[in-house]
Amino acid sequence: MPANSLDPNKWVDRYSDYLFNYTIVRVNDREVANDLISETFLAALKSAKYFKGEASERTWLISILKRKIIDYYRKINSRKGQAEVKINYSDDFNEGEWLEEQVADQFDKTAEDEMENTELGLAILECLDSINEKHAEIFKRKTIDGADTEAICNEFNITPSNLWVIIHRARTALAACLEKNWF
Amino acid sequence: MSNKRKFFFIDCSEAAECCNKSQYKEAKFIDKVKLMFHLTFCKTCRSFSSNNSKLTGLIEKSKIEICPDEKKEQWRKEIKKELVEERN
Repeated sequence: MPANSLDPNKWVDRYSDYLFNYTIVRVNDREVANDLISETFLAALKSAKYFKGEASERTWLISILKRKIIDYYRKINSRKGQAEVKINYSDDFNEGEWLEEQVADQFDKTAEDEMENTELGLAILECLDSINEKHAEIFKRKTIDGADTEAICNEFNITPSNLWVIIHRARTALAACLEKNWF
Repeated sequence: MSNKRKFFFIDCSEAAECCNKSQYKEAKFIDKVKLMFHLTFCKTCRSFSSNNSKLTGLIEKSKIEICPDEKKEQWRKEIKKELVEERN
């Protein structure tokens, strides 16, 4: 019996936030990210019969999404390529200057930091995957959406004390998970 | 124990709740004072409080985004539709 099985009806609840955060940093455009995720879900449904159950559902969806992202870049690059301007560095007069231009600025760590923060975000979402689904949902609404306590209580039909107990459990589990997987 | 002292003493579960509320800026001033008082003599809660603040910092740093509900609803419908078509 395979270790993992597919449950397409739960994909959106379980993985859409993870897939969105994974995509947005790679394509930097919300609309494109949403389209790619939509295409990923549909492609996954079509190839569900090939899922062997060796990888987790999320890993499998990410592998499909990766291909979609690569296809997206191939498409826009083939369009761009026609208008691309090539810079010629073989100018005798300025010989050697290009070397200086190519050196990475060691103080510019923005891209690296951003990548690390995204990885951290994905690690947090992965950890939230491993806790009680309802607790994770409430935690996300409160912590990431910044929703009002009263609104969440009404939405999930719980009391404020229930909410704080759930938040406490989610935070404790998340801290333990990050301690194990991130640090 | 006098009533005044009792007023300032909270147990670890109350301290944890106050600590969590303060991460969302929802703790009252008086509760924060009680928490600070509790933290001066409770090592376990001090460690919890420090980890809790670190966690808040990490979450803020990660800039996680949540997909809009309308988008999620649209994807749910698309998946449902596809599953129905596959069955037929």
